[in-house]
Amino acid sequence: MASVKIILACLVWLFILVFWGTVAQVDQGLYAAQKRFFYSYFFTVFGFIPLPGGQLTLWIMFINLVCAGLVHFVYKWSQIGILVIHLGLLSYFVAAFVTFHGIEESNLSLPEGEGSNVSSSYNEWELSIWPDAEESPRHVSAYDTNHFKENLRLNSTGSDFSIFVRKYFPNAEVLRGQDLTSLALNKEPEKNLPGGIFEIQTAGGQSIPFLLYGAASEATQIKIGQNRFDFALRRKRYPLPFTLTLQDFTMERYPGTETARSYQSKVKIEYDGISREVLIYMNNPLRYKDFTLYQSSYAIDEWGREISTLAVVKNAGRLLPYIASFITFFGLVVHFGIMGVLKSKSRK
Amino acid sequence: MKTFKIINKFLVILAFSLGISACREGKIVPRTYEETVVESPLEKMTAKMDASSLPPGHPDISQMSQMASSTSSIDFKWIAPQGWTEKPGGGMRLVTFTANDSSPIECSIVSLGGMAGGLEANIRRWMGQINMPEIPEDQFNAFLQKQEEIKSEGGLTINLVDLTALQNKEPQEAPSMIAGILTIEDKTVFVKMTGTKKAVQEEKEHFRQLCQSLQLIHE
Repeated sequence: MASVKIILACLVWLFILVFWGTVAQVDQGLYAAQKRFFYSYFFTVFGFIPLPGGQLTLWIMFINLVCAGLVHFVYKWSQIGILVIHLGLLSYFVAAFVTFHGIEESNLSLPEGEGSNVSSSYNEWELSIWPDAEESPRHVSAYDTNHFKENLRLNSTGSDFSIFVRKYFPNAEVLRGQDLTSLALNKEPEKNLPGGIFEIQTAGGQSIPFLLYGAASEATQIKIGQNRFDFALRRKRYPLPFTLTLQDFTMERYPGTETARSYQSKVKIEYDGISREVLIYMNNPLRYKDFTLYQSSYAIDEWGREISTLAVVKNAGRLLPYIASFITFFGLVVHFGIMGVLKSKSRK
Repeated sequence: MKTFKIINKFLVILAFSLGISACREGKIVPRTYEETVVESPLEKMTAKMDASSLPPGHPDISQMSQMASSTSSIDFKWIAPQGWTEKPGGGMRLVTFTANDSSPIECSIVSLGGMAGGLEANIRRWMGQINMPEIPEDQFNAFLQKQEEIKSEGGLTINLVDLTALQNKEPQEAPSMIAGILTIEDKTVFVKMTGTKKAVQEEKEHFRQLCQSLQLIHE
């Protein structure tokens, strides 16, 4: 596992994967192509021939690079620059690993005057439940729908009822208001609207079926025993460590048209008892801890209100590529510095 | 022996990668979090309006009735003013007109559900959209009092709002707007013309003609 040939073979295979995945996304869509070629360990062609995916290839490269460094490296002071360069290269892999497994991309859409402390996923959904009496803050229990299947039991936390999934389709249509039919998945996963038929079973033997659909604008209120709960099938929510309120959204239009030329959001961010106003616009995101909020787009809602959409990126490893680049650059400086000194010594 | 070593290495890699894949399959456990919702006064008003239409506490197996649809089911007809080019709309927007190549305007007819925010809120929002400064409440009310109410050929009452009247000191190239608002059944319809102040003033009469031509189509 310390063979340079393996690293070269992996580089060639990665090049092929990038080309193949880029061409495939035309038919399969960007998300499906990324999942098949780059995020997988294996994928099949013609239905049965397995080929290594991007993740497996990168793991092999990483392990090989570590082994090559341990086995083949010549530990001399004159080679310390090479060692640092290798550490920098390994740091890129670490940065990629942290980013891939830790990054969360979501969005936050706010009409003027409104605020929230959660952002919404683009593609993932959740079944959310909260006590109906609560307005703000709500204590939400949420089940990710990725693993929903027929007759799956969802245990609720701290309450005396269970929820069963009777039907669930990642992309669905409601029939006559009472049933669901499955639709083919969209190439663009954000266009899928899921639907599910669920059943509440209480400790007292009561059974309450209900239907939830992703396009619904309101939660469904259900009385269970003496309590009322709100149920919603909605895009997965990511809690934020701050509350963001949109104070003013400004848009400049091209004269004589309704086409936007530029737009910006004046927001109030509140955290740890601190409140401050920030302007978010193109190339001027808001950064807070691991979060970066970009001005993404806008919309007009059914009430004619302007809604600002901010892209929210949580990336604990966002500085790692810069650190890896610095280490690599430092290694190059050290190595060329040492080579320069050695060369001048040998001339004397 | 060499073959054995290669197969051995492959099995190690396969086991490793399968192990990682298996670890990623998690159990379904509920996530819990606190959700803070900061509502605007408009949101609270509309929430009250929506709640009254829902059967409280009733197990609801239909989401279609709750999916607020803002697209209008009203059928209109109108007569495009001379020199205006009509383009079909989509969704909330029923139609778009453009006119005047030298000093262009764009005019749209949009139908929204419910009160759509109310007259005052919409006028203030439009003023913000064309970068007009906020004016004191008394001046705003005086401006509203002067706005015209007209009747269309179909008997519809339309409130005209001419923002050029507040732009006497603005240059001719400043963005401007004239709008007409009418309420029909449970819908609010906006007829809105935007362009430079000069263009909007030039096309004001055509805008009136469009508003006056509005009629409901009855089956």
